[in-house]
Amino acid sequence: MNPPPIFDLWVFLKAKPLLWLVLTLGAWVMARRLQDAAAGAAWANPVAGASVLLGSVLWLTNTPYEEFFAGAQFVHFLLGPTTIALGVTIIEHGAAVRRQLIPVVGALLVGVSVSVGCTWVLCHLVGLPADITMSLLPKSATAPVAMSVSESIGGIPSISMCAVLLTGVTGAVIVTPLFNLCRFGNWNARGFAAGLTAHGIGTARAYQVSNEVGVYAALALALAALVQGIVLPLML
Amino acid sequence: MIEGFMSLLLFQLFGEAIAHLAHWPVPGPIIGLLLLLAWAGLGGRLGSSGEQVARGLLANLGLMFVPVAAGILFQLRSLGGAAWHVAWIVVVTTAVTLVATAATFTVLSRWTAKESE
Repeated sequence: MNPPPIFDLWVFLKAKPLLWLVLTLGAWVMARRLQDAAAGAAWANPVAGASVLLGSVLWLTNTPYEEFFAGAQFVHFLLGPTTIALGVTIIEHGAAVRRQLIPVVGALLVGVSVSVGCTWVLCHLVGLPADITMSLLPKSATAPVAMSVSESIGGIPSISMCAVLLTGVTGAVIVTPLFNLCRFGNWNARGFAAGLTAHGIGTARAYQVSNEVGVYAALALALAALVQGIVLPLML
Repeated sequence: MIEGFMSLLLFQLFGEAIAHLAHWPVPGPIIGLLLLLAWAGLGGRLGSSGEQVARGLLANLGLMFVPVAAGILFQLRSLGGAAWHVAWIVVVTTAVTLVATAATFTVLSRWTAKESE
């Protein structure tokens, strides 16, 4: 007996990058619509939504991650030019940012120290193994920085990747309710904190608020990546 | 459009080249971003085509993280018993870092506003 044609079609398509590329874009479009439907609620973060959607599809269809990534890599590649694109908005708001030089540098140093220090203390209190602790330290840095730093200080890059993503998604989801609770009204400060703590995913969240808030997030993302990429390997 | 896309990729290419030659752990795109800022500081422009492409990409910034983020469940498995500790430590430190950073920024910007009065 032949397998049903739909099964045959699935086996054929599943091996092609095109299917996973379309599903990745489709999940993103659906997650964006969901957020619109939820009136832009923080819990409906599209990065989290699309990832859960795709993760479920992979899990239900028992698809290895590598097979999925063969299609999704085309989207992944755009991360590079998009990082450069952040520069365009920073330049546009250059004069305003230059006037805020002292808050920018101060918040950068305090933020990175608190992130790394607080993580180190908690990991030691719980008694996590040294390699896991080292993997968690750079978790506020953007993924490629965190992974290469982690490797150079004795951590495990794939665990760092996981911690970075959890940090990004957590940050993007809690940032608005948390800051409303603390009654922080300075939007530049809110954007800067989102980019510093939750790297690109937090920056994406900030751009949803407004271009100007996004600029401070993008600036924080780039500066925090530089500081952690250079200082952490030298310190540890 | 292609011209603009190419100039963004060109900055990334230079960034990657510098990162490789200098053996820095800083990723190429971040160095490329700084090169673009330096270029603008010297009076250089990206051109309207580049700005247009940049805006298009930034409007969907979150999308670029989806391919890697979709694998998070696969990676959590590799943590085994430590997964719960990692999860709560991440949530707590993320909240603390957010508040500390925003508070510092707010206080310092109030202080600089007063100084310049």
